[in-house]
Amino acid sequence: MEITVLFFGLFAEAAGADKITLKGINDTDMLIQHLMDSYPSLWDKKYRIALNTRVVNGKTSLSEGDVVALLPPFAGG
Amino acid sequence: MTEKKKPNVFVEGAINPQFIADSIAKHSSKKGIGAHDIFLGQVRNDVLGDKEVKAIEYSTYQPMAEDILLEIREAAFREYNLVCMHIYHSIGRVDAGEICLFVFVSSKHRKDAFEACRSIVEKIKADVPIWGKEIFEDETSAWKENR
Repeated sequence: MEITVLFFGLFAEAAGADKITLKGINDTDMLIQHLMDSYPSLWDKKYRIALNTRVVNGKTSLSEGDVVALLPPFAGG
Repeated sequence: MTEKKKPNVFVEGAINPQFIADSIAKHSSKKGIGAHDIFLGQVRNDVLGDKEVKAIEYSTYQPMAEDILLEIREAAFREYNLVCMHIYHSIGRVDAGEICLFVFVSSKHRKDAFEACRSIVEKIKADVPIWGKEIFEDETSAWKENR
């Protein structure tokens, strides 16, 4: 099972990429753990998670082809 | 969600005041309108430490932003008696003193225009995935966060 992870703003800077693909990630908790391990500078950052462009809260199951976006605090307007 | 027409919101660079004037002029043909309310966001030269913000570089997650903006639009038409509304937001670099957000709401009477405009602007700030990187005079930068 493969998912795509999108990074924006300071998360893209910290990860050094806009987009990665990952295998074997079953839910959002597992994803966050994996990302924090891979990119320790993300630890203290605030974020929201969007699954296929919808914001999700709490542990959410992931499926093949899902697109998960890590959204740092918004600054529109 | 079924596919609905998503109005173009994002403008490359600053929003030109002439574009705003032209938008107002276009509404003269809609004679049922009695009130317009307009909100303009302008890039402010905040000082962080001893460095002044020279510009903001805006970016977005466009598919999500378009979905949320469509929801904001539909909620405004449900909750207020509006004739029309338009939202434009800059993407890319906008210098301090230039316009980065243009919300234009029109209704028969002022109350709907006032209230809808405020509600739309607050929702754009809270819910639309747009990021702003503040660029200082020495070209260093910091990520902005809405309060």
